[in-house]
Amino acid sequence: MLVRIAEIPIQISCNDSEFFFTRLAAYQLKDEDIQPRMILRSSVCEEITLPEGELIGKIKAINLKKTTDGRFFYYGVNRDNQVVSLTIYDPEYQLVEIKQIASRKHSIFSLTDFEYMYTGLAFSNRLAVEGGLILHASSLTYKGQGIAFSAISGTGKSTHTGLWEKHLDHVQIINDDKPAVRFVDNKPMLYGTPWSGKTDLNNNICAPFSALVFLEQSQENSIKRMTPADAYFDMASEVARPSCDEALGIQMLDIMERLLESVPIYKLRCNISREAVQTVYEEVIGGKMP
Amino acid sequence: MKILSGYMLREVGGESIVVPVGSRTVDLRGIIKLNDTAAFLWEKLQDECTRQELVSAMLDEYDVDEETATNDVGRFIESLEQNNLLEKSSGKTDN
Repeated sequence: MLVRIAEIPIQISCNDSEFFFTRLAAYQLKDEDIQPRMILRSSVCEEITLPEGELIGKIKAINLKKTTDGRFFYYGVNRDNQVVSLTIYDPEYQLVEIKQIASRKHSIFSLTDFEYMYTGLAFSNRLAVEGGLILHASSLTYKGQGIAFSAISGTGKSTHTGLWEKHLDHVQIINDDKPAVRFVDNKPMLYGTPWSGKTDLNNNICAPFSALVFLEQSQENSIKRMTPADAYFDMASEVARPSCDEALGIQMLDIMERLLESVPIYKLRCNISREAVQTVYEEVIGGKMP
Repeated sequence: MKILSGYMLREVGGESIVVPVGSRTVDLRGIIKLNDTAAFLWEKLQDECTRQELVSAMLDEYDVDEETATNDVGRFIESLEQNNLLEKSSGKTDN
C-alpha cells in the first residue's frame, strides 16, 4: 500500500492488514507512480533468524548491531532467550523491516499493538531524517490555525481538544495523540498521521503550527507564554528521541530547538470548562470567543 | 575531573541547556538549564581539567576576584557531584 504521511510517500505492508488498512485509508495515494522515500515492512513469522552483525551498543536490554553492508538492527528476546522481535534499518530509515514471532506473548500488548508502535517509531525516525518530528499532543485546526496541546499521558489533552469541538464550530482534530511537525518554506506545519494513540481520531490534513500549549490540571484557568528554554523541559518529555541512534537523536534536538524558537509556546493551567477554551482562545486566536 | 559523556550543551532562545543524548536520552532529569558562568564552566569540563584551571579560566573570562571565582567553581562542582554528572575520579586528586 502506498501512502503519504506528512509529505513522505511510504510503501507500507503490515501483518494486521485489516487494522492498518482502516487507519491508513485516508493517507493512501492513488497514483502508484510516485516514488516512495520510505519502505516500511512489518511481518510476523514462526521464528526469527538474526543477520550477522557486530555489536555496537547496548541500551538497557536491547542489543544494537551493525551488519557488514552498513545496516543496523536491534532485537528483543523473551525469558527463554528466544528472539521475539527484530528491527532492521539503514541510517536514513529508507528501508525499515520489522519482524515479530507469532508466538510472542505479552501481558499488555498484542502483536498488532507492537506493530502499531514499531511502525510509528520507524516513521518518526524517517521524519526526523527529513527535518520533522512527532509530538505527543492532541492537535486541532481552527480558523486556519493549528494548535497542539501537549502534556504527559493522563493530563487531559484529548479532553481539552474535545472542549474545543463542543464549544466552537469548525474545529477539526488533526491528530489526537501524535501529530507530525515539519517545516515547509521555513514555516512549521502540523500534519495528521495515522498513529493517534488509543483513539483513531486523526485526519489527513495540515495546518500552520500557530501555538504549542503545554497543559497542566488546575482549579483555575490561566495561560502564560513560555521562553524556549523553559519549554525545553516539557518538550523533551513529549518528543520520543531514539536512544539507539545517537546522531539522529541529536538531529532531533536541532529540530526541537528550531520549533521552540519559531512557534509561540504557552503553559495552560486549566480545568474542564468552556472558560478553559476561552482562556486559550483570547490569548492565541485573539478577540472574543463566539 | 571531567563531565560524564552523553550530555550535550545546547543553546535555545539565547539560553544554555544541557540535554542527555544517546543511551542517556531517557534520563529526563538530566536536562538542566545553565546560567552563563555555568555554561562556560561546563564547556571547560568537557575536557579533563582541575579545579584550579577552572578558577583561572574564570578569572581570564570574567571580571571577578579570585575569591568569587573559587566560590562559583566550588558551588558548580558541588552541584555536578550531587547530580552524578562527573566522571568517576581516576584517583588523582586536584583539590
